[in-house]
Amino acid sequence: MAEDVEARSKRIIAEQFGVDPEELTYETHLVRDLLMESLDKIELIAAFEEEFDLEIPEEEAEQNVTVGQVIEYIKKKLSSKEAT
Amino acid sequence: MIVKGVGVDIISIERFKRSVERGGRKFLERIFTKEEIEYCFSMGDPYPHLAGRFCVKEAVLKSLGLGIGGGVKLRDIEVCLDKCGRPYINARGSLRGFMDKMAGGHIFVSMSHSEDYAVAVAILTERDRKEG
Repeated sequence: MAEDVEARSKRIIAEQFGVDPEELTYETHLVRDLLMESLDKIELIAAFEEEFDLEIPEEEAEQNVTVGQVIEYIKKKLSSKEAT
Repeated sequence: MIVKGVGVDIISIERFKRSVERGGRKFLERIFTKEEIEYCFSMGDPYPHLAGRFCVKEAVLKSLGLGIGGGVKLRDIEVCLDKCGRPYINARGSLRGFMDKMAGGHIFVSMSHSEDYAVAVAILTERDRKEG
């Protein structure tokens, strides 16, 4: 079965920070737990845009501070993309 | 002239190089203008130049009291060089809008690098009304 959005999102985040995807939960905080720096943030946005073929404005990305928020944001972007 | 803000940033050039190699053109275009990319890649080793410019952009955001996603895009903070080789900021789009609100604001920047690290500082000033 193809990876779902949650698994793909966790894989991208895990690769960025060099952690095991299974260690990531919805509550994992990008800055507090994964020590995200500004460069990580830009890399992550670019990686998510590439993986899901989306345009992600930095202002919107800024709102997502946990792994769960990122996953829900991507799901929302994908469903609004399908609707258009 | 009144100093309104100061920002500083430092980055490992090797770390930045890895990001560019991993993120490719999309990553570069999120941060830099076409002219910045062309200039840096006209150098023997583009990475100290790219990393230095990235530091300038981050330092400028800090001097404005903003982070990434705070309303000013990194691409709109264009780093140019004057004829003496001194860097200055060409405010584009979102940065121009921000500076216009400050009526007379100016950003002074400087950057440097060693073999391993690039560093930059930005000073945001607002013109004193008495200066006219």
